[in-house]
Amino acid sequence: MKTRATLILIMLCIMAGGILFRITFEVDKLEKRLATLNRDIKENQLKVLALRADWHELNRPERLEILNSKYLKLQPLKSSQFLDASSIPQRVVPASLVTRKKDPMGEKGSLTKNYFSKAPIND
Amino acid sequence: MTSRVSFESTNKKALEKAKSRLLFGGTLVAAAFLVIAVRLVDVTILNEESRKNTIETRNVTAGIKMSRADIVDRNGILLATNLRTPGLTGNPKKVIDPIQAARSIVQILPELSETKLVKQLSAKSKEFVWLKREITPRQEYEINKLGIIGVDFKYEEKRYWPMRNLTVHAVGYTNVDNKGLAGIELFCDEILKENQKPLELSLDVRVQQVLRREMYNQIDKYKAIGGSGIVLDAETGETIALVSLPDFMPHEAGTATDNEKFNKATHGIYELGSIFKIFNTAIALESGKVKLDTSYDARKPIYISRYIIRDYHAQNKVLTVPEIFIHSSNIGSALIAAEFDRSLQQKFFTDLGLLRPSSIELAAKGTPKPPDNWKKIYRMTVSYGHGISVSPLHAATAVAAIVNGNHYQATLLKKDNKPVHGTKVISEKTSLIMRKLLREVVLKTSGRSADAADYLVGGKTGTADKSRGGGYDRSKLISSFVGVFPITSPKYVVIVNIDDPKQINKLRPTGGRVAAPVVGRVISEIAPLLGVFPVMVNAPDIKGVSLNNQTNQSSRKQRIAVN
Repeated sequence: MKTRATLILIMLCIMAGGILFRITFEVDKLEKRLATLNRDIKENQLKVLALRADWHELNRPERLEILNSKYLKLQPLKSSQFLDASSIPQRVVPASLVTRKKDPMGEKGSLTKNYFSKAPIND
Repeated sequence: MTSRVSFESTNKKALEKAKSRLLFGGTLVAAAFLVIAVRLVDVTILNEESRKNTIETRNVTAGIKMSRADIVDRNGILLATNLRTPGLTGNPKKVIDPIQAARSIVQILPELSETKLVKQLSAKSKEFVWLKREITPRQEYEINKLGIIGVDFKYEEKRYWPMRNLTVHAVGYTNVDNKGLAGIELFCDEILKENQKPLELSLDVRVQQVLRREMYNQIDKYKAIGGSGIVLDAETGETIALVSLPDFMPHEAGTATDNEKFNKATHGIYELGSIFKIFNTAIALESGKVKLDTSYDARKPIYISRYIIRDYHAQNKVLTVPEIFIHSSNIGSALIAAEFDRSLQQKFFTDLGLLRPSSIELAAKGTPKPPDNWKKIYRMTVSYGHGISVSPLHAATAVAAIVNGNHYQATLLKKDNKPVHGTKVISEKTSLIMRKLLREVVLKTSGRSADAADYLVGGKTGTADKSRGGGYDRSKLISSFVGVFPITSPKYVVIVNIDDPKQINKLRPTGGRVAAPVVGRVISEIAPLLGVFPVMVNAPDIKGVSLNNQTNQSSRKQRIAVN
């Protein structure tokens, strides 16, 4: 009984020691990895800053104007292209089209489908 | 033996007790060990998830700290930032073969001189030499790959201006040690060093670009030597755009000429000519010295001391106050000013901020040059903008004060809806009359080419002979236009000055010909960007805006909706 208990204790001690070593090694490894990661994060953040500056430089209004005149030929907005919202006539959808009827696609019937397929344009 | 027996026999009970206590204690210790062991197994082998979390959340570096804060425009566009750039350094004591090292470095950095490199790397007395400051990340990689012993990199923070020369006169520049030397970089040097938060300017790079491009084209067309332009928020004093041409690249400030570095918008002071008739008319009406229908005989030039005051757009008739303004009569303006008390103009100009340096956050600020005294003759010439020099920024700020009644300090920093305090300069009534008169100039006379369709521009031209020595050079002009839009409820003031434009088709390059079209084009392009809604001029509530409308409520409402 006595020997057995001692043996178990010794074994437990050895096990604990082994695990402790394992942990130490692992912590060492993780700490190295953490340092690498932190360094990488810092490097990447610096790169992001440089890329951000590049991005803003590439988006200089002057450069965009040159690119626009070369590829898109967009024009500045003219005042005639603005319209007051109140001057746009509202579409009037007849009540018969709004009522929900049984639709094969769904239980509740599709409001939008009716609107787009059948609603006359009442401008 | 006997003693043992006796021991056993006498203390058996006690021994049993001790044994069981020992066992109990041992068990406790073992249990504790077991708990630790189980926990160890759990933490090290089984519980992988929680471990991952700990690593990821612990110790992550919080942002990069730079020694100087960014500068951004009102929409967050980067105007200036610090970047870490590698530089190439050498330690001559460690370099084994300077000739070979120099040869391979030159292959990657061809702009360096090989002989100079050899000399630098052979100076065995030194432990540190700069071979080249600022190399690109690719060059850094290539040189690193060479693996030359004694050649290393040093990282420095370097100021970088992504918008290049676009905002250079407002933002300014720094030296290699990141010390502000001009513009906001100089004025806000301490703030930029202490803060990590970006400094927000009131500028809008889109508006800046439109103004700069249009001015650049006009200067080119009229072979002018330069110019300046400002877009000012009339309701806050915020500077939306500030251009001075010619300009320069901020990172090449060392090689820029004095003319390029000179900020003509805030530092240069000029006689702005007829733009001052805005102030003169406002003084006259506000002080009650004249009525709108008071008329003056502008048929003959005025001879006073050794000066002659004459009209360029001579009407040869008796003019009312509005006519004097609209036809820009020097004679009429001088006659109005002749009725002022000695101190009236001075007080009014002081209220408008025309007699002290501007409040803008720049070191390069011009101090206005008023006449030596306010004798009658000077009161008369000042009325049409001669004998008084101010910067274009002064004029823009003062015009903003006239059209909305309140004077706001000009600023380059974003106000961010913080309340701004204006000082009341003129009554709403006078302000309204002035707005109508400014609109008339654009509708009927010299300012016609500034009329950006549907944005209700009001404004005034100014053409002044450039002063030279003690007198004037009739062949050299400063041609200006100051525009306000929308005139029904002024939101922005645009001022453009072109310095020494040359004649085209033998036509005098006046403010109306040279500067007004620029303002017109700029306004029609920037108004949509600034959220100013166009107003259909023929709409019933706008028709006749020139003479009998009140502040147009509907356009104000529309604008708010768009904003």
